[in-house]
Amino acid sequence: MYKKSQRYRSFYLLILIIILLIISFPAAALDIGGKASFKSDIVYENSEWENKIISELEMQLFLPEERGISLENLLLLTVESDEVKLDAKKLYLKKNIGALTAKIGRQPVSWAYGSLINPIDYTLGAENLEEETMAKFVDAVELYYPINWKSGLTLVGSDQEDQSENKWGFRGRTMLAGYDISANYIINNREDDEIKRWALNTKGDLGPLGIYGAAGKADISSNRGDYKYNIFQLGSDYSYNFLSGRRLYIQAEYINFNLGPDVKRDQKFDLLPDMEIEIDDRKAEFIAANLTWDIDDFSSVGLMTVNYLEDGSSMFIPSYNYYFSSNLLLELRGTIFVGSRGKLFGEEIRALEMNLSYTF
Amino acid sequence: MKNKILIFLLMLILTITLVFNLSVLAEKSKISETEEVKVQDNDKSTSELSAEEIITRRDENEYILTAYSEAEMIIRNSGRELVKEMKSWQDDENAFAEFTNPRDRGTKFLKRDDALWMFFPEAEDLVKISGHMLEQGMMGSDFSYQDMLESDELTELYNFKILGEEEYEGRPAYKLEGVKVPDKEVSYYRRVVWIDRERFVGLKEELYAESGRLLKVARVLEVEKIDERWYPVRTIMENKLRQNTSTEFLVKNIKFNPELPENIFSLQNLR
Repeated sequence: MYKKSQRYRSFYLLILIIILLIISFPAAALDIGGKASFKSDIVYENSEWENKIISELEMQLFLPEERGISLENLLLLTVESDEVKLDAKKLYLKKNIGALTAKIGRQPVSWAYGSLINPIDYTLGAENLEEETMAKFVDAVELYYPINWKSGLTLVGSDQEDQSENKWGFRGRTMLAGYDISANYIINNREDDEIKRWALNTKGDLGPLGIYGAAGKADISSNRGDYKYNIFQLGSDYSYNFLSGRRLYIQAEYINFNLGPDVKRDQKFDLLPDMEIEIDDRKAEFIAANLTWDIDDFSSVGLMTVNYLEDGSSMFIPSYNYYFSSNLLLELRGTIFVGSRGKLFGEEIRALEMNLSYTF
Repeated sequence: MKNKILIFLLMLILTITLVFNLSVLAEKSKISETEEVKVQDNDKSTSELSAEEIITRRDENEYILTAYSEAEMIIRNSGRELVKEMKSWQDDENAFAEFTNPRDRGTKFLKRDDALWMFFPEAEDLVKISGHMLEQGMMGSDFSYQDMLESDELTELYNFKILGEEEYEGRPAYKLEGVKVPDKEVSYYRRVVWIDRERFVGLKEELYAESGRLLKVARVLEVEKIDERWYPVRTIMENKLRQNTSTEFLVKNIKFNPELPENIFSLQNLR
């Protein structure tokens, strides 16, 4: 990402572009949509309670394509206590150049394939925890070249915190014998280290089960020492309709980070996005699972868990969604860490997030 | 004078009665247009057709080679409603749908063969959906992804036989039973259909599991003649496994055999 001043400069430049585009489009062709949210976060951490009230307004202008160019935008206005913040989740131009599709500007870069945790995503380890909601939105240039209806190549380049830090990614995706298959390669130059990582992933069906998996290898050159690690993931999902018409959806996956011989004990790693892990052993293994139960058409309950097998600590995220109407949704989400002090999920954390949102 | 007043009062009563009856008649006619199948011009009735010929004539009306449509789904449960709007493009093998209502705006689906892909607009995730999801209700509705996105000729998938002829909601109808053709992959093992004997459009359909259990009932509330073919434009689907729920599917606009945008059924278009 840019430095703050550069970020604001590019942001204002893009605001100017959006205004010019709005002026140049006929008023009838414009449509505005968005989401207004009211959030309450109650957090219990280190024997202290904290309550945050946050109001958010997401605004999106739906502009018609003009001369093969479209402007995608999603602006976020956040009000928390006395602080007002305006950010652009999306503000990019999209243009077809021959067979290529180019996207330039603030955009989400997602290499999702349906897993609960994506250890081989583009944004791996690049963001800080407080930027979690913005983690996938980067200032980037993306070129996409379709080979046929099911295959394509993607090249992405993005800036990090400083202009000297940059990240390049290449991804090929296709479908073979009913399986979605992709391969990616990333070079991430950061101030303290350089990460090179290649990975493969696939998703398909095995009888009534959905199955997926990923494998990868990362080489890190760091001023804390050079090291390597392998990534392995295997997961499955299944849904079942009960005679009452209620639906149960289950997904579970195993993730293994296997560290090379160069790793020093007690070294810290950015193994998962937004999560720095202190490794005591040569491997880090996780089990992640999600269970969703549709109570009826308007409400559902869910439970996601992440268990760190090395120390037995776990994180539980129970959730509840309720639609008051087509556009008014209540979401409740809890976070509970279970583990003794010093373990990965050993912090004394209990949190409850309530989000009431209205879309228009 | 008294007689004049009497005549005036009689005239007034007659007028009120006439107006009242006319409005009731108009209301009845409106209800019959909306709650029952619309009665418009009749085609030539045929009584000597085989089951296959009847289904083929229905397919001529309802089977889509290519189409663009705009539709609304109203999901009802115990008196409450969720409304979803969508536009879709389909040919005889593939379908592409995009939701346009505020909550789901930008959510897109692509179905090619047995594979279903979904695009989530906020993070621009493009994910292949597991096969078991095809049987689940699309966006929480009583229509499965398979119901919404498949357009196969029924004669290719089921062996039909005529069960009889009966009236359905005031329309003369053939009643047929279709059992799945061995080796064909279909969502429902058996279906019983009521087909309008004059217009050759489905009026009601009961969908059964192999065990014999009734899974869903679709009732056509309104058909329209579009481009010289009768087509159901308002259908209610009830999932018999669920209580007090139904999904109404309203076709607001449909164009048959349009020129489809280039590469519409591709992952590139889904992004």
